[in-house]
Order: sequence, then structure tokens, then C-alpha cells
Amino acid sequence: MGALQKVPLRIYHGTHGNETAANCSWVVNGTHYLEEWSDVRSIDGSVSIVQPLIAPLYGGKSAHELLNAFGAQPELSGYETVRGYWQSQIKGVDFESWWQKSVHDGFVANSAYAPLNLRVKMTSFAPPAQTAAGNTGGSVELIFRPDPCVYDGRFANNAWLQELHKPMTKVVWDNPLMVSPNTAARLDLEQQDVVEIRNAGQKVEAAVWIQPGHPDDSVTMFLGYGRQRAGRAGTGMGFNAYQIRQSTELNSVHGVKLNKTGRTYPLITTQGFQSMVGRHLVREATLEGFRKDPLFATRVEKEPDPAETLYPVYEYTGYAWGMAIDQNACVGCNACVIACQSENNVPVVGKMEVARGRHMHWLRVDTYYKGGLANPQVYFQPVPCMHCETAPCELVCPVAATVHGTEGLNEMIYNRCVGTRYCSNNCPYKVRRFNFLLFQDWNMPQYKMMRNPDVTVRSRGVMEKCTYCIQRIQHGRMDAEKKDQLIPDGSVQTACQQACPSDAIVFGNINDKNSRVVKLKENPRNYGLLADLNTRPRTTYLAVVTNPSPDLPEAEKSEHA
Amino acid sequence: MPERSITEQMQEAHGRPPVLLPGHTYATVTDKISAVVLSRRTPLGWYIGFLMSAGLVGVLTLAIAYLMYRGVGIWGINVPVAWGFAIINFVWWVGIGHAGTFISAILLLVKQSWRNSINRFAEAMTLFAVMCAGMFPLLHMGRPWLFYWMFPYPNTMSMWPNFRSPLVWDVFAVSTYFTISLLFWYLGLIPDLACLRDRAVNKWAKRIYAGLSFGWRNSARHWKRYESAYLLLAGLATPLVLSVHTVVSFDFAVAMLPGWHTTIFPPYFVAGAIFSGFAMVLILAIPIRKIYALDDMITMRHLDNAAKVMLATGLIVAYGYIMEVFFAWYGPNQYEKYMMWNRMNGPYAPVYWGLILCNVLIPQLLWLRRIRYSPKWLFVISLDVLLGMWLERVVIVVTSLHRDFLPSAWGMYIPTRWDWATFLGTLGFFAAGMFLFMRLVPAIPIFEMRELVHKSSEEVAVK
Amino acid sequence: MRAPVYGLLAEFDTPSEILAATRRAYAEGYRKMDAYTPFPVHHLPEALGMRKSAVPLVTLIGGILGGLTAYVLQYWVHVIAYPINIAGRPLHSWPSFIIVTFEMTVLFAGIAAFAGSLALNGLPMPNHPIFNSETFAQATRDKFFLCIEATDPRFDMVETERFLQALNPRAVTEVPN
Repeated sequence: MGALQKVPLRIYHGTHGNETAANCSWVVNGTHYLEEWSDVRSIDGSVSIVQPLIAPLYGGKSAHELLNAFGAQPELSGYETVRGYWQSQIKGVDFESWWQKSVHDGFVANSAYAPLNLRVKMTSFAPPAQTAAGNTGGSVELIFRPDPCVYDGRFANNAWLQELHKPMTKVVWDNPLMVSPNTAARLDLEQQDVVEIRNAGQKVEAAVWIQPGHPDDSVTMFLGYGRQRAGRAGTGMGFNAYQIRQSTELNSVHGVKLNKTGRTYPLITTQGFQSMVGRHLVREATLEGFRKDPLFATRVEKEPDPAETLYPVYEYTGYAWGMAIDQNACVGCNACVIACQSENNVPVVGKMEVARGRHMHWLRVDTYYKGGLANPQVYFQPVPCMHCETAPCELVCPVAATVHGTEGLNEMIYNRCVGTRYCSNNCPYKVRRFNFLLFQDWNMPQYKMMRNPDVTVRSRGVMEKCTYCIQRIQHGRMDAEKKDQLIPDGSVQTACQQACPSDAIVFGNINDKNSRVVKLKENPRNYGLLADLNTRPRTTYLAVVTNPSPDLPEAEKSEHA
Repeated sequence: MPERSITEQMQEAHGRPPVLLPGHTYATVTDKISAVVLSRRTPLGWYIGFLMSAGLVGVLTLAIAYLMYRGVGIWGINVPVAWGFAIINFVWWVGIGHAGTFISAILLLVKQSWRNSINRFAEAMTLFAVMCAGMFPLLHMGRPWLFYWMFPYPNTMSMWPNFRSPLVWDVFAVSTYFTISLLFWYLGLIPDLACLRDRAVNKWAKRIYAGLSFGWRNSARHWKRYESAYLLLAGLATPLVLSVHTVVSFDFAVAMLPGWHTTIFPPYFVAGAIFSGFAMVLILAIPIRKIYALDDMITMRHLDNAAKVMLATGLIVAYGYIMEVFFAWYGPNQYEKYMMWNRMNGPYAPVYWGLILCNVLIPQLLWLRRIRYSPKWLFVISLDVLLGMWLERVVIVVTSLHRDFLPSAWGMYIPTRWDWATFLGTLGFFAAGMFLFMRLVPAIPIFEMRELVHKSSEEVAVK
Repeated sequence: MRAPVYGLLAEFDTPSEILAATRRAYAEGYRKMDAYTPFPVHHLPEALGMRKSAVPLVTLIGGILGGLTAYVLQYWVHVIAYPINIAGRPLHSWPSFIIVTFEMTVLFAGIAAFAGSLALNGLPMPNHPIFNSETFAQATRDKFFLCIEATDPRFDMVETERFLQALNPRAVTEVPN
């Protein structure tokens, strides 16, 4: 902070009153990019005119408007500024039609740069200075990584991202210091031990997380936490890795010592246990094994035949919604979790409540390790509601607040729920979430604008869970009925499906033989999770098939399912 | 060498202590029992005890108020352990209540005269225990103000409860049990209220007892219908003893959780209920007979028999535990195997082993005659049984929920101070109820004691 | 115009005495009479001429009513009124219905037994002439009473009193109306 204080006039222009703003003499309320007129160049040089989606919510000024204040025309608005600039640049065509077209299209035609022919001189690159193998005694290599949730810290005040479980550790609201099991044993470190790390004359504390599969003699600390002025969600959460990070060693530092403080710090996760305990949850085979026995996934555990029942079978003659999740494609990125939270007004409960086991994510991604701690296989399994045809939750609800729809959806009726929580007890997948307290903010006007108006906001004492985005199904149905046709395959996408970057989640009508979801369910890799319990889930999984290189040592190849 | 007590002398003469010590007439039993309510000075201990109980009722009120204000999140429940102390205590209290009905109803039908002196306070124990139990299903709901939706009644939504749900069965079973117990208890009380009416000196006491006794006048014709109703209610209450806790066990057995989904639960729960209920009966009987000098009517025979019932039901419960282990070991269900292993070795293992100590090992002391004839030992063992039965419900509810099918969902349950406050508050409520009962109503059925006097005089005449 | 006397009350000390006295009175032809005892005495109601009580029948009817109500209600709710797919189970889930049916049977039977026995006994009746007797309070302690009511056709102040005295009671008193 010392260097900044030497500057006589410091003006901060931004959307948040953060650490930098605190050290400036003037703070100017900035606009969000969705509130301002502006222009940008994309990666190939194409110009795009940025238009706002909403008038500034907090009376903010865009950068153009700020700079105008120092200029000849202080009252000039952002719109006039941008338009005025382009008016001066565009000659020879009717400006108005050029403007309308560019704003409508989102980019200016033919504004890309011409590519240049360049050659890179290889002589300027020096080899890396040190490797981790040089670390002896109690020192390790410390690696800085952007956090998988809050990135470099810019999203520290985004409560959705703070409460999002990190892909490997499932930790929330903190940045754990990841240490391999061997290194932890060598340095006598236990889970949640607080260590002090010194570098370049600075120090910072961190809480240890024993991470299976992490390289030995190396520890990883995520950036973006430990902020001092990051709003209600981000302030004081986690530890500030920037404290010991220098511009000369941005990615990693060698010879760092971890000094035990004797204290512990609670690191909270959303996942109870990361081993499958011998249960056939994520099923897998090598390519060779799959070729020998394509039905390996269903052979390992018997699924009851749908005809094997004392009861008359319900017929689903119209739409019958189902979902298939390809575990081969899932990379554990968690985009689906945030999409679901956004679409369905899922509340954030905070670190204390997550510690008590009350996180509210309708969809979660489970991470399981298999094999030795030093180098395990890792599997990701997104778990939404299975919409079981013989749903154990429906049977035990005393007030019939959860019943089965005619299209196969397990329907949760918030208005009827009296909160006995028997359904949660009887769900073997534990996908049901209960509002133990009033988790939603009823009063903040901005939240009312944020929420999806198609989805009920749940109050205290009611159960909620994945609905297969029933509001989207309804929209799809209405659109199809207007055109007097059936809902075409792919027109209704659940939020998780829409957000998944690897297309691992596929939703559709299983009565439509040509739908993608049916094709996936007919795949021999298809199996139901815990299907031996006779829940008859509509959400099924495709088993993992790996193709390990024959050059890998035996221990590193995955085991046969 | 102290002189042998009458008990010991009678024991020597008849082989077992008597149900009613000799020397009583119809008048003396009437006078002695009604004096506790009407003329004897309330002991200081009663005031202290009642005040302490009332204090705990205050704690309960506070706990309930805060619960209504903030929600069930003030307790330690979560996902996966969505049921905690509330259900544990519900089952514990309902179980305790069953001994009262066993004594009133079943012992009547099998003509066990030792039930005569203890059935009223045992049935009062049932009523207060069921009241305490009944609070919990209401309190543990997320939206308790809508509890009436669990009853079938015509409404504008055209909605009805789901009769397939064990919780709806519970509503009917516990309501029926409370109603029948209340009616049975009250029916038994009517002649004694008439007796108090006739003996009360205080004008208001006389009026109140007169009103409550409905003008009972001891007519022989009335007695005939009365006995008929009494016997019929006993006959109706008998299947309730077996069925109510069976229905409560269905809350667990109908679910699919390993550790819950097992056919042994109905008999195991019923036996456990009578086990804990008799423990509570002893905990009440032993001080009552001492403080009010009623040991001539609640004799060592009663304590001995109660101890024997406890031992027998304790053995059935122990059998249940052994069977659960056997099912897990012998059967193919991997989830059940893990559940049993986890109970014995996991984070809640101390609770499980505490349970085995309290419910299986310590009650074996009851095989010893010396222990059964020692009120002090019986009191301690009864406390131990109550603790053990409470631990059993903790094991059932918490260990099965906290680690079930998907390891990713595993969690822990840690009760909060509000969990404890609510539980202790109900203990106070129960105690306060029993104190009021002792003070206002004859704790021992007077007319049934007269019947015992009649029977023993007949026996003497025959001899 | 009410008679000044409700009846004559004879007081005895033991159940065998009251039983013998009642049998004698019945044999004598008295019908409008009642015995008052501190606990039920075997065979005494029959000695008074009372045959069976209707309480068991009332209870049975109550029970059947309860059972039918419960089953019909559940059937109607789940099959007719709001048939809805719950967990893929059949609408007519009769095994589930058994429990509530059983409970309602017991509940209605119990209430019928309690209310029925009271109603058949004419209770509550706080004011009954017998309470006008000063010694009657002992009926709830240790004394057994036989009361021959004035409305009995064979009742005569003098004759009945003489008859009662012959039964060897502790006392014979008048019960004012």
C-alpha cells in the first residue's frame, strides 16, 4: 500500500468498494458492462458495439462518462460518446443504417485485422530455473493456481461461487492448501492444520488439505481468497495467497517452508466421503474390457426386471421424461451446479450451515477416488434427482406433497409440504434438500430481480429438489402446442444440460425412440445408480470406459469394474 | 439382629411377599389413600419437586417458542440425518407409555391382582408420557402450524393425507392410544372421584370432584355396566399395547434404510417399550411408596414382579440385537453389513457399546433375587434401562441415517443445546404432570384395593 | 306430587350380608330397589334382577362402525376422490389401509364402551335423591346399602321397614326425596 499512498490524487472507478477503493481518495461509482454503452475489439480485431441491457441500477458512470467529466463536454452521455466516436470514424455510408446494423448484429462487419506473418525466435527462451526435486528437508515447492470457483479473486463476493464445491476437494468458502499424503506424513501435517508460509519477507497462513494424487514435495494454494474488503460473501474468507506471491515468481516458488502453528482451521466440504466403499456407484472398464463384455456395467449388480412386480405397472403413454449422464464426458467442472442454482432460485446458506450439513444444491457433483492415495483414479458423478418410478420418497410423505406426475416426473409440491422430512430419509440418493431455516432473503429488491420468475421461491420448512426443470418443460409444451406439434427432441433442455461444456447430460422424452436420450439409454454402458434397490430411476448413467496407454506402469492403469 | 419385617414373615409363610399387607379393612385403605389427596399436609419435597419440574417446563416453553420463531434449523438435524432427538424422544416416550397399558389392561385380563395398586399411576404415567411423545411429531415439522393436514377432513383443496405413509398411521395409532388410555384411566377414576367427593371438606374440592365423578353413586346395577365397560376397554387396550409401538416401528421398518428396513422391528420395539415402561414404573413406584408410606399396598411383590417383567422383555430386546447382527452377517446385503460394522466401529460406536452395556449386560443383574428385592438397586437399574433404551433409539435413528447408500451423502449428527433443552423440558413436563396427579387424584385405585381386601378376607375365611 | 320419602335404606357391613339381603328382598317381591357397594360384588346385580348389560353390544357396534368408516374413507380417498400415482403403488393399497382401519375400530369401540356405559347408567346425574341420605357417604368407604324405593308397588313404610330390620342390618334409615 505504501507506493500507492505516494500518488497525490487517486481516483477509483469501479463497481465495488474493494481494497483498492479503500486506498484512494475518490471513488467513482462505475457501471457494470451490461449497464453501459461502449465498444470492444474481439480476439481477431473485430469491433463490437456494447449496448446496455438495463439502466444503471446504482447510478453508476461508465468509463467514458468519467473521462468526459475531465473534458470539454462533461454532460455527454456514454451513448453519445460512443455514437459520436463512430460517427467520426465511419465515412462514405449512411451512418444511421451502419449504426443500427452494427448494434443489431453485435459486431461491425469487416473490422477484423488482417493476419500478420510472424516467426518466433526460439533463442530468447531460457529453461526453467528449478524443479521440485531440489527440495530437501522441510521445504516444498509452493504452486499458485487460480481458484476453480472464484478465479483470481474477482468473484470472491459471488456467494454462488463461494458455496460451489471445488471439483476435487469439495471444499466450500475457503481455499485449502493441497498437500500430498506422503508429504503430509513427512512434514507431520494433518488435515486442517494451520501452517504459516513465508516468502519474500511476507507471510501468510493456510489450512492443510491432504489431497490424494497430488505430487509429492509440492503444495498448491489457490488465489483469490483472504480478501479484506470483498463484500458480505468474500471478506475474510480463506487465506490471501497474493501476500507471498511476487511478480517475479507468479506461478510457483521453491524452497518454501511450512511452519506448523499448532492451530487448526475448519475446512468445510459438501461431500461426506470420497471413497465408494466397494459399492458399484461409478462403473468403469478399460476399452479392452468393454470389448470383451459390453454389458459390464449392468452385470456387476442385478437390476430388477420392470416386469417383476406384484403391482400393476403404470403406463406412460404421452411424454416420459428421462435423463442420461455420460460419466466419460463429465470433467467435474461444476457448471451444471451453478446453472441449476441460477435457474431454480436455489439459496446460498453460508459456511456455518454447510458445516452443519445443510447445503442446498439440487444437483451435486460427487468426486470419488479409487486406488491408492498416492495416485488414485478420480471419477465425477453428477447426482440430480433420479425421478424414480417407484420413488421411495413419495410413499412416505404423510400429506402427499410429493407425487408422481403422468409424465414420470417426481413432483415436489412446496405448498403442501409440512416438513416431516421422511422423504429425505427414504431417498437413497439423498438428493432432497430441506429449508431448515429461512434461507431465502425475502426483502432485498435486487434478489427479486435476480430470481427466475418461473420458479417458486421456497420458504422455511419445505423440502425441495431437482424438478427436471419442469418450468422449461412447460415452456416447451406451450411452444409446441402453439404450433400444434409434439415437443421436438432437444428443444427442452434442463439448465444443467444447457450449461455442460462436454454435453455429458442429455434430457429428453424416452417414449420418443429417435431422441438422443433413448440412444444413450440403449447404449450397453447404461446403468442405473443403486438400481438394485428397485427404485426404477429415470436418470441413468453411462459407465466410464478408459483407454490407458500400454506404456503406463500397471499401477496407474484403472482397474476393471 | 433386626426384627424381620412383615414382608419377610409373610414371605416365609406364603413363599412370596403379599400383594397387600395384612391388617387393612375397606375403611383403612380408603382413609389412607384419600388422605394423601385430602387431608395430609403436602410434603415439602412435593413443592420442591414440583417447582423444579415447573422450571423445566419453562425451559421447554422457551425452547418451543424459539423453535417456532426460527425453525427446526436450531436443532442439529441436517441432510442426511434429517431426524434427530425429536424422533428419538418421541419413540422413547411412546415406548415408556406402553407399560401403563400393559399393567392396566393385559394384567387385568390375565387376572394378576398385583396390578390393582399400581395401575392408576402407571396409566397416568402413560398419559403424560404420550403427551410428551405427542409433542415431538408436531414440533419437528418444518411447518408445524399445518399439522392438521395429516388428518382426513374435507377441505377446499380436495386434498387428503396419504394413508400409505407410516406417519399417518402414527397419527391414528397415537391418537387412538391416547384416547383409549385416557378413557380407560378416567373410567377407573370415576368411583374414586366419588369417594373423594364424599370425603372432601373444602367446598370447592367437593364441587369439583362431584362434577368430575358424574354423580356416581356406587349402584350395583351401575357397577355391572361399569365392569363390562372396564373389561371391554382392557380388551381393546390390549391389542393397542402390541399395535401402537408396532406402528411406531413401521416409521422405520417401512423405509428402505439399512438398519431400519427389518421385519424384527415390530416385536423388538414392543418388547423394548414394555422394558423401558416398567423401568419408569419402578422409578415412580419406589419413591412414591417410600415418601407416602404406601409400601403396604405397593409391596416387594410388585417390585419383584416388575423386575421380572423387565428381565423378560430385556431378554427379548437382547435377542433383537443379536438377530440384527446375525442378519447383517449372514445375509447378502452389503449395505446392511456395512451399517452393522459402522455401528460397532464407526464414529457412534461408543453409543452402540453403551447401549449393549445398559440394555443387555446390566439388566442381567435382575436374575439375582437379592437385587430384585432391593429397591435401591432396582431404582439404579431402572435408570440404566431408561438410558439404555434412549441410546437404542439414538443408535437406530442416527447410525442408520448418517451413513446409508451413497458415501458422498454421509454426514454426522451433533445435537445442539436446543435439542437438549427440548428433551429435558419434556422430562420436566412429565414430572410436573406426575406431581400434580399425586397431589390431586388418588394414586392408588381405592375401590380396587377394597377388592383386594375382600379377596384376602375370603382367602383367610377359606383357610 | 312427590312422595316425601324416596325409599328406605338398610346398611350392612360385608358383601355376603348385602348379597343375602338382596336375594331375600327379591324373593319377597320387591323390584324397584338398588344396592350400593364400595366395590363391585359378584352376583349382586343378578340378585337385583338385572340380566345382561347392553354395553358389549354397544361396543361392538361402535367398533364395526369405526372399521367400516376407516376403510371406506381410505378407499374413497385413494381410489375415487383423488386417484394419484404415489410411488407407483396401486391405488387400492389395501395392506396399507389395514392399520388405520384397525386403529379406528379400536377407537370407536372404546369411545362407545365408555360413553355407552355412562349413558346406559344415566350418568352424569349429579342430583339423585339417594344423596339426601346422611349416612350414604359411607357407600364410598366401607358400608353396603340396600335401598327399597317408595315407588315399588309393594312398598309400605311400616311393612318394608319391618322386613328390612329382619335382615339384620346395622341401621335402617329413611331417604328424603
